[in-house]
Amino acid sequence: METISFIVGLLYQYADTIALLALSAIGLIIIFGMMGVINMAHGEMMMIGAYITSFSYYAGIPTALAVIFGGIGAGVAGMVLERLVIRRFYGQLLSSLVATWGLSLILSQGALLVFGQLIQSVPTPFGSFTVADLSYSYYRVFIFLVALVMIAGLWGLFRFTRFGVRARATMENPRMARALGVDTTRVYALTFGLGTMLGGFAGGLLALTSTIGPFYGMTYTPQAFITVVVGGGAEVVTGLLASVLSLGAIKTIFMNQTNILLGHVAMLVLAFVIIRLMPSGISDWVERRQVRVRER
Amino acid sequence: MSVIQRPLALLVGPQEMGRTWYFWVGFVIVIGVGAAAPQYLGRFDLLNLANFLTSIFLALSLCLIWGFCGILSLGQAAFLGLGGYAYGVAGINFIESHGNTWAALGIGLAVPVALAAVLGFVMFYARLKGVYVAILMLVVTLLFETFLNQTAGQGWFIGDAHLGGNNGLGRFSGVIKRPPSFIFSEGGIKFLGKSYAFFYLTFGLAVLCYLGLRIMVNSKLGFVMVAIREDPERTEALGYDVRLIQLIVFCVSALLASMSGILYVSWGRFITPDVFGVYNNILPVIWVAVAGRKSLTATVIGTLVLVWMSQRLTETDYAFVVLGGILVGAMLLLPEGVITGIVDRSAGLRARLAARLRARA
Amino acid sequence: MELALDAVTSGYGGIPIVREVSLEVGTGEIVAIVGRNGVGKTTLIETVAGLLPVMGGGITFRDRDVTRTDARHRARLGMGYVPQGRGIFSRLSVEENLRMGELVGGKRAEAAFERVYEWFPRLRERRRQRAGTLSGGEQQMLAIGRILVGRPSILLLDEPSEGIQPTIVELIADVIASLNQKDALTVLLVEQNIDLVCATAHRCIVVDKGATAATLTPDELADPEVARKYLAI
Repeated sequence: METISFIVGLLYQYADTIALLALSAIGLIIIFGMMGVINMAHGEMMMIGAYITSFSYYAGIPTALAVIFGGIGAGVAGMVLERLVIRRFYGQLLSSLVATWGLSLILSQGALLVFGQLIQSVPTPFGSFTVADLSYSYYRVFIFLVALVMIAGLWGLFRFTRFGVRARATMENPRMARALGVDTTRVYALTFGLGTMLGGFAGGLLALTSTIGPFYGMTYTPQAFITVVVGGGAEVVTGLLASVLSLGAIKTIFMNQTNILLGHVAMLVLAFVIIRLMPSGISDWVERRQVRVRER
Repeated sequence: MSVIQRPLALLVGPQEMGRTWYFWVGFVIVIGVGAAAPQYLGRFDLLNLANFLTSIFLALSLCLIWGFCGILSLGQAAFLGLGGYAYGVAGINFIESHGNTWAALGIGLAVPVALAAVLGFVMFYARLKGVYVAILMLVVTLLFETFLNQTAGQGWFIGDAHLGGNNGLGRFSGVIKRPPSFIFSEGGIKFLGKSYAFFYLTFGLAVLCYLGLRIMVNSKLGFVMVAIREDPERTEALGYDVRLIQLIVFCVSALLASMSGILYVSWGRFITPDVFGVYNNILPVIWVAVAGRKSLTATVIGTLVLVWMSQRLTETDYAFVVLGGILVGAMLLLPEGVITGIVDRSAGLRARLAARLRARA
Repeated sequence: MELALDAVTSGYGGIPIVREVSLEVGTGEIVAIVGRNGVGKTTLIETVAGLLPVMGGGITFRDRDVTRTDARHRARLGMGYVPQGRGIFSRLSVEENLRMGELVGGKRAEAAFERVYEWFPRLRERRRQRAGTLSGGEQQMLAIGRILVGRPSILLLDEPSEGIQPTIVELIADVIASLNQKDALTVLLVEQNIDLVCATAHRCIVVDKGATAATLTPDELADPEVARKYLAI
């Protein structure tokens, strides 16, 4: 009985950790893979999603729809940002990091000015269930499943749609894509919008598990950015999976044995080691190994 | 060379602005005005100014490593915080046995430099591209912040110092021991945080660091640093040990950042894990990027202006929004920095003014 | 007139490499650009494709001024560009690479996958394989097949035979020649391989130091004396 309880608990924690990392990072890694920029204001996109979700909910809109509105709102905001600021930094990883960090400051502090210290929250739906005397939240299992669906959906988008094929081609060789007639500027804009929309959607989903304030995004940006850098932009879906599975595993193990903060610390240490050994991320490293094997 | 000219020659060179006589006259005037500050500034304003000055060390640390060596570190707060915590912990433990804070000061400086040496070795000797150094430093600072935030429990003592989790070191005095302010000798001068001695200490250190860095960047080492910034491969091909130099400069910059942290702790007598957070990492980037990262003088002036400005703006809550906006604007429009831009563009004007002044004299 | 360049100057970073080049390619012509290494042949063809902005002069394509037109519009107008090194998308499958050619020549008519597979049966075999796993010759077939999936009216080829085994070079040459005869497909190619040039081209333009130096017929180029003079072979 104790072992079952322990195993279920561990699996639940692992699933929850993966969900958190995947949801915060999925939008960001698309942008990173496509344009080679890291949007440090991604957390603020999540915040926008969270606020829209909250306001919609309190305006009477059903929760699911509220979350979707959150995503759409963040997507729109993202496309505006892309037009005004981001597109000048394509391919410049470091400059984009610094500039978007500035944006993050503007947006979070701006939210503070507009919304004040007001903390909102939306109740977590679905309730809880018990296994062997420990209670778990249905909703957290739900968002884990949603995360899986999102990753699968992303994979499907890139594999089976015309936009997906053109997006992947543009990611690999934008110059050649242009020479074949692809409107790369539009691909970038749409990708950025997709990335921020996914971020806003994630922000809305996660808003149902915590409180919402102007600095909502600040909790998520560091882990999103680390997940993305560890995953690498060469193959977005495999990178994301490799990253969340490994980082999530180490965080869960330590979290289980000690506390959540030490779990986070362990994850950061692993991230440091991976970045040091595979600076361009896991997916990039794997790709290079495959090329090298082939060339032999 | 005369007695004045030789030290001046050390301080002057192509790497840093200020090669003209009127620059140095201006410099002396500024020092004079600064040194006389206690005469015309009230206690509150004086402490405020001293606080501004502690930002200079953090700014110079980034200016050195980024502007002169081409390596952007997004985690200078790691050294600032580590220096502060190390000084605090050592101070709490040694103040009674030693009666002064020299050991604490030494440890406060040595620990971050040691960390810089280790990290620098791991990063530079792997020939990591600049952006990954920046990212790794961000990871390191996050590490410290997260780790120290969970040290609230009763077990987290180093000697007599309780790390205190997110309440930090030295908060809520009483049973918990607080880090001491600087005390330099038994019964002699005590640089207690509340007197104008703190101002002079900070001011003096700032001037010394500025001049010391000027000598450094205008020396042969400085030339090589800039060469590394411009073209690392060619510099290496010319026979210079690029990685070692990067390591050294990284350690010096860690030293400077830690000074900021130590001064902060000795003034307020507490420190929390927040010092490792986003603000201490992004603020120097804003100051240095906006002011002009390739110049020490621009950095100092720019930092003081921006810090002063943010303080005025904090009264209206707009401080960080404006700072963020300034950073974005600078990245988009003036990548070389505002002060540097002004100085460069006014070069002709200043030369004519100087000639006219000299003709008049 | 399919393509006309009028005193075109272009280069990188403000430094002109191609200097006031004028040339014309008639519909249904196969014109080869030859010359030593580093004289600006690739720069020239990149400028025609629209990947490099023109610093001076003008380009006309099918009676349309395309001097300021972006590469992607030139592709949709019918320019099919195959760069040096093939430029295939190694992470995409063979089939997906071919699909990327759909936009060449505009959106009229469905993509001609079948006929591309007929010309290059090996591509059909390897349809689902990642393009990065193909051999050099297969990648070249893929790069050219990709363009032919659309409806190009001119092929711009940069060193199509470089590093490819002779049998595949022949196959490609045959396909191009046949398309040239049947559909009046125009071809402008940069090439070092004299044999290929002589086998396919109607006309050869020699480029030296960024400018056109001479126009030869393939027979003239076949003469080793002439080849040595212009190509330092």
